[in-house]
Amino acid sequence: MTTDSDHLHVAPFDREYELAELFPEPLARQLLATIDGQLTATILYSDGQAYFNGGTGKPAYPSCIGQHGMGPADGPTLIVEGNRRWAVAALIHELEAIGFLVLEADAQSMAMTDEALLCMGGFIARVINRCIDLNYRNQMTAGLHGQVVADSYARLKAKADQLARSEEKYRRLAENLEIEVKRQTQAIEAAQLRMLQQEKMAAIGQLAAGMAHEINNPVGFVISNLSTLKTTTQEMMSLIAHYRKLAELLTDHSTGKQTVIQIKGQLATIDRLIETMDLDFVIEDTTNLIDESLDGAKRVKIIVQNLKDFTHPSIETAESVDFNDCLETTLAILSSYMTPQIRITRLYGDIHRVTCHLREINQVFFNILKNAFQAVGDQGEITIQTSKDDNAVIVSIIDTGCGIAEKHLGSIFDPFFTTREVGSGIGLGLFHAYHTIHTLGGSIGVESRPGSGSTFTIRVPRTESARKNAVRQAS
Amino acid sequence: MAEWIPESKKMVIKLVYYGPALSGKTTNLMRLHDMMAGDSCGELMTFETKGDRTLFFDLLPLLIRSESGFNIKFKLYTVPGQVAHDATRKAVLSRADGVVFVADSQNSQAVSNFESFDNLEKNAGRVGLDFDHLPLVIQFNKRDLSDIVSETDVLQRWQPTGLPIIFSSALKGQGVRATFSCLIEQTYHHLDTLYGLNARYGIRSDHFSTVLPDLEQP
Repeated sequence: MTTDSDHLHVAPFDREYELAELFPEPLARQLLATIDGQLTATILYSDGQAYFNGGTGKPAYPSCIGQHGMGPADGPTLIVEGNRRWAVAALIHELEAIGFLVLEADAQSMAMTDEALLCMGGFIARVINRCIDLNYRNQMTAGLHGQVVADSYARLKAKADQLARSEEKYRRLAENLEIEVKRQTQAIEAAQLRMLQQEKMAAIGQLAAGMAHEINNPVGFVISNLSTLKTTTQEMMSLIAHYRKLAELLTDHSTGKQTVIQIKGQLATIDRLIETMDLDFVIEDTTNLIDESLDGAKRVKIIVQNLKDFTHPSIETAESVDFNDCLETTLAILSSYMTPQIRITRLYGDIHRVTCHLREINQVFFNILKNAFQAVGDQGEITIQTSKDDNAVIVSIIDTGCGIAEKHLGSIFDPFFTTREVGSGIGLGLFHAYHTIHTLGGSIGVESRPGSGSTFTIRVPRTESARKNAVRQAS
Repeated sequence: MAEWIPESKKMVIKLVYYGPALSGKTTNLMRLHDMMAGDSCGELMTFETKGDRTLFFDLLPLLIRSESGFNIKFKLYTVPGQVAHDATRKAVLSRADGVVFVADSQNSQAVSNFESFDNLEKNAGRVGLDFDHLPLVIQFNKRDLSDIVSETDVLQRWQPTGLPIIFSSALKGQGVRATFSCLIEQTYHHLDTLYGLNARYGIRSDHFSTVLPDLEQP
């Protein structure tokens, strides 16, 4: 396995290169070991020391070389000592002589002329110089490549380490994130559930307020009538007491003149009492009071019945529901919003019954009708239309109210969307309606123009199977 | 830093031509090579290129000999200008003794110039060069083109840096020698301060100057 330092300590490519690097010994041997059997080549360093010996064993070069320097530009030179002859040529690298080629001709073979020897020396030196040049290029590019690779490796490694660290960090973060998201989701779901519950409670609260107003009125006059009846009953009872006493006097046989006086007196008292209490009026009024009270009590009974219908407890079981009845019940519940200037037009069609949860569908109509009432304010028109087609029951609720701004149209079914002031609704009404209708496989849509009113259209498939298909397609 | 081997009387000085892609770095070296006398100038070594673009670097070796017998080798490098070759640029810039920043005068290249200069500063820091004291010459090249930044604007923008600014047209050989001359002078002073070239080794500024070609081509 390699370590970083192996990669980082690459020799700089631009260093000064030695003869041994530029013309390696194995290459020298390969090229120069055997030339033609008559020539022996030796390579010397620039200072005259031997670098490559042709292999003959004896000193193969003249002692004078290196002691008097030979210029790089000099061509091959012939040196003769006794019967030995050498051609000497400089090996040039970047304008400098880094060595010499010494070519000795075999003393026995006189066939080669001095000129040929020089020529051969020059040729071989040129070949070696070319090798040196190519090796120099090779070494530099290889060295540079090595440096670049080492540098890139170091950079990549640093980057990889950094990535590994951040990956580790993010992995841990992601693990925690999952847990955190789960926790948050649960919290949000719980909060939403609570809000929905609160919205329902708020709706019931509003309902209760409306009901209180509705019930308060009849209960008020029933109480008033009863207290009037209590007073008149006391007077009647007092009158009856007097009549009883009169009857006793009339049937008492032991009395004489005094009794007649007593009877007269009693009759006078009764007459006064009848006059004081205005008995004729009381008799007539009592009937009226009782009729009125009965009527009031019946009204309360109807209201309670409506309320019971509306908040039907059978939420767990679906039943066959007539939307026309539901709309009537809901209208009755919302009667506190009614003013004489609001005209309700009922265009109830002959529609199928739909199997659904009564309370849920009532809640839907309640929310939409309540919005309609709130939209029209004190005066206007609300049209409720029901109809059917082959597959579905259609309910349209059309108001002439303030309408919905175009920018809000896309969000009115979103949870918690409300344009009302804080405290007067948390924006779950239409969300609930949307949710309920979708669960039934139906659709709920709105068209609105600010200032001229809104139309909510609800479509609910008639049969269970149509509903299931619709739900499947929607999902 | 320069390879400085007083025992063998040898000094190798690395000079780098830096700048955005296609600003004329290689052209600078080619023109210098053309102007140089043969015995002090080696071959211009160019490596594989793709179109007109340098992939590795170019290298022009120059050799002079001081009176005191020092062999002074100048190695002139170019960097690849393209953004992608940053690691190569960094390696080439490493250990530089002096830098020419070759800017492209064309109006369209203003952003590239600034990005490249910013890159030079960053890479100098990465390879341990003291950017504030690094001998640096700014060359605004391609003055022969028409849609270029005016000299007034260039000077206004760059003079506050205190760096020498040379206008050139490397393709026509103008300003190439002046740029190199300015760099050699700066580099000498910098190295003299560091190593006492004159006092200790008898290497003078005019020795350095012998590396310059005789005359600028018209």
